[in-house]
Amino acid sequence: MRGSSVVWILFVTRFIPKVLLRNCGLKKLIAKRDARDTKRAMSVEGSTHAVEVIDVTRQFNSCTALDQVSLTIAPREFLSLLGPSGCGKTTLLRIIAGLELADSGTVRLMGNDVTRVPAHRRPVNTVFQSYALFPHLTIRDNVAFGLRMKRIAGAELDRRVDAVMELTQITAFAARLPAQLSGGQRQRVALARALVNEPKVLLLDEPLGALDLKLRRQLQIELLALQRRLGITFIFVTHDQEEALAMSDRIAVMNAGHIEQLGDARELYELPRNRFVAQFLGTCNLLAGTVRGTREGSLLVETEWGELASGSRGGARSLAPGTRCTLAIRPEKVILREPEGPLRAGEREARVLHSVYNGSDTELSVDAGGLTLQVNCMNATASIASRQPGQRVIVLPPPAESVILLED
Amino acid sequence: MPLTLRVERGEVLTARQRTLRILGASAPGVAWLALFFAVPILLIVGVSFLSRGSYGTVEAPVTFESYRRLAGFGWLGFDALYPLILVRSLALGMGTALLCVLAGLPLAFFIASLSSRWKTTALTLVVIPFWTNLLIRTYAWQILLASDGWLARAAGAVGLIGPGEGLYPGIFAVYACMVCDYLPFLVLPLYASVEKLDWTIAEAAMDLGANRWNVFRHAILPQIRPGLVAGIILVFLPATGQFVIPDLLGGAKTALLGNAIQQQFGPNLDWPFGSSIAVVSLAVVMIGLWFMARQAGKKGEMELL
Repeated sequence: MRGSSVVWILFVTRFIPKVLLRNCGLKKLIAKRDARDTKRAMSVEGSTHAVEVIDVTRQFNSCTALDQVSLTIAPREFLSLLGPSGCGKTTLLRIIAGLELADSGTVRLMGNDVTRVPAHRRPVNTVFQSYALFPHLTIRDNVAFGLRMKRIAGAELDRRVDAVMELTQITAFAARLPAQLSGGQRQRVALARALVNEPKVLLLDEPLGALDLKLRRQLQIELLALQRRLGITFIFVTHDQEEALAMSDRIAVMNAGHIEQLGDARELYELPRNRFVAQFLGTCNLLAGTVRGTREGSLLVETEWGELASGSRGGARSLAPGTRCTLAIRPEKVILREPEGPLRAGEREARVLHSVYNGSDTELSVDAGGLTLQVNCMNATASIASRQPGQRVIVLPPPAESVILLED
Repeated sequence: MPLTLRVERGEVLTARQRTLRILGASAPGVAWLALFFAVPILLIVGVSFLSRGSYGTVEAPVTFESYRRLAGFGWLGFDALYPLILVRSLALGMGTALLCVLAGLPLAFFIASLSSRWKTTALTLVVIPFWTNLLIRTYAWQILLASDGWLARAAGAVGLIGPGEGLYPGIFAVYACMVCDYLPFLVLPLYASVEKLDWTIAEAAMDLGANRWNVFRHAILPQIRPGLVAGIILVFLPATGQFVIPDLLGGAKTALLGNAIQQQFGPNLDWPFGSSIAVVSLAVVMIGLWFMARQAGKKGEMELL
């Protein structure tokens, strides 16, 4: 009798609490659920897309930040979201990260619907514009944070943290605090802190925005090499067109809550779809005109510069004669020659207004009988580049392939 | 030898002039603290080692008798009365601080989330209780919680207390009044910290897989820690020495540090013993504060959950 009660007391006081703690510990339960969700969201089966954004709309008070945006990103792709501030690019990134929820529409990661999944259970990581390092943690603890949240510890934690710190070259700062690092070093820490989690998609919100030009160029190259080596999908938000052109597989040019055009760098530069894209990426000579007809697959348009042929859409979009339209010609596609000999067909006399010497090239602004044109000449190949303001030049007629027809 | 000159507010000063100025400017404050703070404390510490004369005077033999009595070894053998008073007072201070933290954390975040116009209003409302005298507030609680008050009737109707009973005197009344009185001391410094909070760090934690609790624990708490610690100290210190509220609302059944000290200096005319209570309570509180400051000052360490 007495013996059995001792056993009972032992059972009640020792065994039950232990079992309860072991199996019903709230923290463990939550961690288990998180791990399961993340695993589910990371399973690649049946998905050829890393990220799918379908008809996502997001409004702030009365202002529409994203208006029915759709975007599909392939695995291992480097995609840039490019646009002026306030165009919705950061909001789109935050919706993919789960830091912001879409009012309507769907977000899929690896084929799984994550529209309502909170940020901490999505298999993506973000490099923030302000880096957002934990100020009270050492660099090493900053990097280890994500793994600790996943309850990874011991040798595996050490191995993964060391590897990623080696990769991003921050091993030397391991024991320091974020406040003791320079901007470029902090940027590397932010990158390491995200990469250590081996995300399927890495989101970068203007990560190089706060750095000086030289460091920026260097980190661009490193970042791109890293992306190729790790095979992680990168979504890179920037307002710097050169950065986007230099790094991306594809670029989504955004404006006022939607994507104006999506394509690779060459496509966007050579065949901008509309006025916004044409002017946001590089500079353009814009000419308003009226359609006259078609000839040999090119569209004939009457403009200030006379009748121009545009071969940009290969006549695929044949506009009815009389339609108003806009043409764009890149400054480097405008050809000048010395004012010698008689004027040939289509040529116009012009006077140099301004000249800006850029080292490798010269930007000229010329006045061709009331028509102001921006011209870009390579100094090495075009002696005409050395023309000074007030001097005369002759503008050649633009060939059909360099005249772009814009949608408006 | 080069003469070191410093420009201060447009004036050029030598190092000597500068030192003189600093001394001159701080002299009144230093003198005040020395006269009315340092000297009295030293006197108290000194008196606590002397003996009580037959007529309540402080007399010569230097002894540890007061401290022995305080530890519980009186003429009647061991009695834990005074250690209990100390523990009870510390418990009151800690209890009040804890309740204030529980009430003040959400309040500080709520105020910080308001628009700037409402913020000012809310902060004014937090401070308004200070405009009334402590005694008046305490008596007001007596009326509010009395057996014929509407609060007591409501509590009776729900079945929390028996019919005809009041919510006062009792532990509930004491803590209700204590929290009401000391909450602003916690909310104001805490609010200042919450206001400066960098939310992108919380977002970064979320992004790295931290759930709600871990976001608070690792991204928000470290940022508001200075304000929180300051607030806890500001509540804990006066709450530990408080005895008016427990007396008026708790039914004057238990002694606390405040009453004990007042008892010895007043009716009992035992200054050495009163001093020893004051010295011990001061020491205990200072050890507590040192510990907290050390905790708050720890950097760059992260305990695993």
